[in-house]
Amino acid sequence: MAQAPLLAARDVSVAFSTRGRVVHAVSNVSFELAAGKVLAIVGESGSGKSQMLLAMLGLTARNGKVTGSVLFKGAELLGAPEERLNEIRGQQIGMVFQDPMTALNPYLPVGLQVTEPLLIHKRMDRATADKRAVEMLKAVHISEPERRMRQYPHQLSGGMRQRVAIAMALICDPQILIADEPTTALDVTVQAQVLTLLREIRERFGTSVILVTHDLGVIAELADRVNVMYAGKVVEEGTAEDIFYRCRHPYTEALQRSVPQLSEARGARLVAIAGNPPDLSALPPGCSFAPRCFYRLEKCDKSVPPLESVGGIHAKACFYEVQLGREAVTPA
Amino acid sequence: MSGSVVGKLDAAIVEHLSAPRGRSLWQDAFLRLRHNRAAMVAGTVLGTIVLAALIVPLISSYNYYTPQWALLDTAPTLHGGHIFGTDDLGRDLLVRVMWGCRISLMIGIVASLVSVIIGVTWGAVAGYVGGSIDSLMMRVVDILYAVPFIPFVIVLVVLFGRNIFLMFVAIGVVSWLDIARIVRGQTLSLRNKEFIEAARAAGVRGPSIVFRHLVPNLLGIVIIYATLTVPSVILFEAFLSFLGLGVQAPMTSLGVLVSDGAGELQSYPYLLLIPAAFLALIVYCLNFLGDGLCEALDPKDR
Repeated sequence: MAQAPLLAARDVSVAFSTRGRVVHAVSNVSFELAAGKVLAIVGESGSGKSQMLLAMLGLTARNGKVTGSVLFKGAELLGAPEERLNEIRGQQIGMVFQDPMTALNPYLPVGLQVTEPLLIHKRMDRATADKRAVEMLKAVHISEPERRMRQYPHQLSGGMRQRVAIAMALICDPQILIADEPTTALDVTVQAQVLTLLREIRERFGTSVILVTHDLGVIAELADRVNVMYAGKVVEEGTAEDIFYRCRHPYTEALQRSVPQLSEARGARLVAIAGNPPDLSALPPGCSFAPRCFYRLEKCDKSVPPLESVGGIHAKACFYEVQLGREAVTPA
Repeated sequence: MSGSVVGKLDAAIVEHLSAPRGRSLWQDAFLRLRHNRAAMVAGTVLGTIVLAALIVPLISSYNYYTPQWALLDTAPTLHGGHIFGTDDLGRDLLVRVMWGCRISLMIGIVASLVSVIIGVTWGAVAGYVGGSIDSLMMRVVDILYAVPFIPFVIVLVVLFGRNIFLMFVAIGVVSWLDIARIVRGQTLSLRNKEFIEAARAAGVRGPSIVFRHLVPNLLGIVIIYATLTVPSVILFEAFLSFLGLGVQAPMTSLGVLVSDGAGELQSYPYLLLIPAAFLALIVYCLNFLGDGLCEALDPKDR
């Protein structure tokens, strides 16, 4: 803990103005990422996970306004000049996108796309870059890498394309790999392979990983630390164990309860979270989750609960003070 | 009949599946184009015309500018060397038509190339950069659209005199506008695709994204549009030459030949019919070829 974190985000907010309305996609999010660790960001669609990541890399859409601070190895990323960001993107921070079907350019051969960061950042010549790309494709377990280099994305399967995308993100040996829902668009067996690959990469290259997902299983597999986001805010953070066994926020609990369990009795109904995520352009004055919460207290509608430590790095933003989680008794 | 076509397609599919190395979308497209009979016939005819236009003036014993006062308005004949006949100054029509094809195709191709290069660059930059720069660039296009073409050409002719080079400029300047608009629209829809975002996240700079990542995705539509532009440019040149603003005598183009021939339609119809037939043939062929490419490159057809 004493060591300065590789990446530290402080009070990052992202707001988009559209037709007179202001959408608060991310509000005052802070987190730290230590070298060689995996940070997972969980939350349902529209909770601001992806926008948070794009904001860090300066890729927020034109109508978005980003405030706060993101320190990468002590240097500020937010508001950094484009040339500086271009040096960091792809070279020191690699990014893998959600849908491998659209994340590769359909008109360019795989080899050209994988080597591009090398040509840009390391000013390598073609032959060296090709050799390096073949090694990298081998490292992500792509068979016959020499042949794949000449193929086009439409000739590869979804899982292979995601591996190519990962190879592309890793080709310059970045310190951080950002994976934005890397398994969402893949089928279950391929998901498992990609997760194994991510773990392997972390161990082999010592790369820190920021993993965005809405799949709790993925987190249990990989994460050292977990940030649970809801409506653009971090509502709970902690280690994977904290989140799974000692969760303190009703939203985290509800997320876990909405995953079907093999141990459940046959015919048992799956618990869904009632209601819809709030409109990010008209957030309630109190806790954003209050309207959907089992445990709502009176003050929940009036003021926003702050993110407070409940021991160690485990923190929650909730007024309700009872231990939740798997073992805890919850009202039906 | 249909069995053999299906057989051929199957063979193509098998060949595709067992392809030892990667095949680009372009190779795929070419494969499909080869199965498009109309496009292949059009391509062959066009190729023949181009070859003839290049070779005939070289080997013919006549040239396009020397009058033969003894042979005015000779009808086409297989004997005597003038198979297309001669015009009102006794010049060999075959050689003149071939020169006309040369000039018309050259104007068509060069002007289209100019308009494609300007149009794609302009449209892709406007679409990718977006915002107020996009608005500004597209307003420039709007303004140029509003410039009446004929007065514009007349002004150019008055200022710079009549020459072929001017035709390239004049036609190129006008016809890139459509391409710019099409490319910009296409770019807008591509700009938010994940692979563009992925390229940005990999640290690729703006100009590289436009030319390495966007333009290849646009080429399909641009090629289609270009093959459709060539005939329209040829017709445009014919129209300008018809008005006397284009190619100058004794040099000729298909447009000039048609225009001259039209004056003698009553007495010597072949002076109109032969160059008109070539013009029509070229335009048809390019349209069929463009159409075939359009189908071959359409991913939904796969």
